[in-house]
Amino acid sequence: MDIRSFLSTIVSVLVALFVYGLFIMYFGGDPLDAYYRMFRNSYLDPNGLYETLRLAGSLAILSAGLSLVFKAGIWNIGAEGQYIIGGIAAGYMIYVFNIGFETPVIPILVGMLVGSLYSAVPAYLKYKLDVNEVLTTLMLNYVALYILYYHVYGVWRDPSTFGFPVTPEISMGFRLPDILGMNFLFPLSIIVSIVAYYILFRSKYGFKLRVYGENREAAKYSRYNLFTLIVGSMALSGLASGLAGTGDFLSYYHRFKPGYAAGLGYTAIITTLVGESNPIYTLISSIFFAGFLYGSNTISIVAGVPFEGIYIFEGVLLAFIISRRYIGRWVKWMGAENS
Amino acid sequence: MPPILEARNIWVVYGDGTIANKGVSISIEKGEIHGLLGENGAGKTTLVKVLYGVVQPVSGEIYVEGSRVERLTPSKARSLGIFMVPQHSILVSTLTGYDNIKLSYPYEDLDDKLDNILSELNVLIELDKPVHELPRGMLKKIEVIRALISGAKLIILDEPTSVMSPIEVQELIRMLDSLANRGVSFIYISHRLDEVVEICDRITVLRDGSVVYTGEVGDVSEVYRKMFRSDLSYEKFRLVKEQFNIERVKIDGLLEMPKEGVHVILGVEGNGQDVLARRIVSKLGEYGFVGFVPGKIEEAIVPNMSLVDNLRFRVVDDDGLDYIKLTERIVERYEVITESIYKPISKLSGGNIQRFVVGRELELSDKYTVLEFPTRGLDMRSMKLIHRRVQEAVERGVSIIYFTEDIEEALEVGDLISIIYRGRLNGPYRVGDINIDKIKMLMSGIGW
Repeated sequence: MDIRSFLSTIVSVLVALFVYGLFIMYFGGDPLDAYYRMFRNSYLDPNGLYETLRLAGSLAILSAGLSLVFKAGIWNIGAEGQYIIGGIAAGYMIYVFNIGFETPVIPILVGMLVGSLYSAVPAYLKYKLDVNEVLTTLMLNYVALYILYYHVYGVWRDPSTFGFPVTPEISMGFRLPDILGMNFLFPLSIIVSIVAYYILFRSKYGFKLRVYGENREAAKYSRYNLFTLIVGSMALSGLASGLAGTGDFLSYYHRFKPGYAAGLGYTAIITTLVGESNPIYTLISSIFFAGFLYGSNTISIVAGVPFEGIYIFEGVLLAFIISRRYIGRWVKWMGAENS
Repeated sequence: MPPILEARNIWVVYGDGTIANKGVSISIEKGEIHGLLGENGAGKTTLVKVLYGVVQPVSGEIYVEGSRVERLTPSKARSLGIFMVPQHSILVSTLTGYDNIKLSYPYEDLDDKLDNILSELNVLIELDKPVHELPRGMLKKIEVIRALISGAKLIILDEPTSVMSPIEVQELIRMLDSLANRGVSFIYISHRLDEVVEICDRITVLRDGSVVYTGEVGDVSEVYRKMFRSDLSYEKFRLVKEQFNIERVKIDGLLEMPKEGVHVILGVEGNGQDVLARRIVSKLGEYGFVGFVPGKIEEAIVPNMSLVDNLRFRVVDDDGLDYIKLTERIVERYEVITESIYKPISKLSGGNIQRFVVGRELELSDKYTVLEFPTRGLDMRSMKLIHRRVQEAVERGVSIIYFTEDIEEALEVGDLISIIYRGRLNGPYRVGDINIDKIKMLMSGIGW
């Protein structure tokens, strides 16, 4: 990331914070105080830090997968659906099929595989029929969401909860343990980010993905196998989303409920774009966003702002990140004026 | 009467430190056709971008009809009557010529104005067909008319004839002449000296960002000498090769390929060259790597990647290659001007990008190379350089299919010549077996 795009990212974040601050003021809060408390609760408080890093882990794994496709210019909006469907596939390994012994390994592998297949479908349609992947992946998110509801409100509902839409808690043997006091996913996300970075910037495959992302014609001109590029990168991205979905299920929720679909797959689009589709940067942006996501609870308590206010922040930021190139130019222009 | 446009002491420095214009001054009188000449990278494009307000100079003054203009922008330039017709058409290809004009001048008196201009000019303009059905010469004329309707006093033409047939060039020149007589001024950027001599009243020659000559056209060889950095002599090319070893490789019944030689496909662009080139490349691809310079050079580069990566992406699966060394070799042998081979290729000027791509394809291929208009838009020196490298590749054992529009070039580089017209091929002829008049006839569709 050169200095200019770094600066324009910072400017984008500051503007989004400013707009969100106006929103907080509208509800009668003090933005600076709210941001300060949010920071304290998310990063300095031990419980808050645990939650922040858990969220950061999920976001970073999702973002690592999205980096691969975004760099290839493929817009996978379906991380959310791949996350959910991966989790449910893992659920089948636990609730339905009895494999005889309790281990998180098999549900995880199955969850990753199914998440991967779920994103390979729109990828294949794009490859074969040139179907716009934005539409198909987005629509498949809703398919996954209603499949989740079907299981939570229906077949898997725990009868002992007197009607609450939750599934039974899984037994200890299936759960992923904490590592050094951190949720399993955070250390895992560091490894996943490094692997994704290696694929994208150190392997031939990643190089071809980047060429394809920069100039489709150039990739065709060099006779790259477009099947392995389009379907392969989407499958890898689905693999990561499935891992995140399964991981949250096995390490944190231990059951399904409607809130399991918390929109992390959408937030990951923003963390990936903020991190310029570089898995090392997305790890950092995920930690920042996780703090914000967790901290927005704080804001809703101390400033009386509805929790949904976070989406204003995300929306403004997204708009600015997408127009970053122009902001970059503006930053350059300001620099030229001053010097 | 003050000049219609005058620029004084223009300095342009780009963000990467390149100084593209070093104190350039130019003035264009009313009714004048002013030629702007120079090698690739001499600063012509930068200068006209300044005059049209796309690029801001770091210092210098611009006067329009005697009054100083600050911070010129394209919209301000247009309102002052300065228009630009870029090298590649920016008309909306699915709309008719008339609708394209209407897009930029959506007012009620359009029809009257159009009638006036057309009846005065006495040139044939096809306004009722979608422009993608029209030949390129016609597009250029429509773009000029469009600028006039919108109130142009000065029109900047960037390489207007680069993809036109000789007849179309003559028609365009006739039209520009009669417009100049009516007081419209032109800046005419070109590499083609013969045209410039024919059409321009005065010229300005740029070299390395500075003006080296401005004034009457005068002695052509003098102008030619000024354009280039030094006098260079190149070995003469053999017109007919004595040893011509033809092992006829049939390509799908489409054309024959000489073993170790150059088969030129000659014809005005838009007669099916691109389809043919792609078909040949995909057919030959069965035998391994095929060098290919496509007609649209931007399909052959990854703009934001370095020169090294722009070499690497062609042969990424080949582990035995030293990409860095090869890139350095191409940069040196093809005179690509760049500060570093790790700079993004998009920072290079058009001519440098083209020489790099041509060099890359020739250096990488050991059997076959297909070159689609490899010297288009290049100056004479670069053209000669590429011809020489093509011959060297042939001596190395490479067979080459070479697309060109230029008869002289065809005779210079070719061993075999076929003429392409509306998707059909006539030939191949051995150079020396066909006379130039016949070629000219075939190129313009006569004698098929």
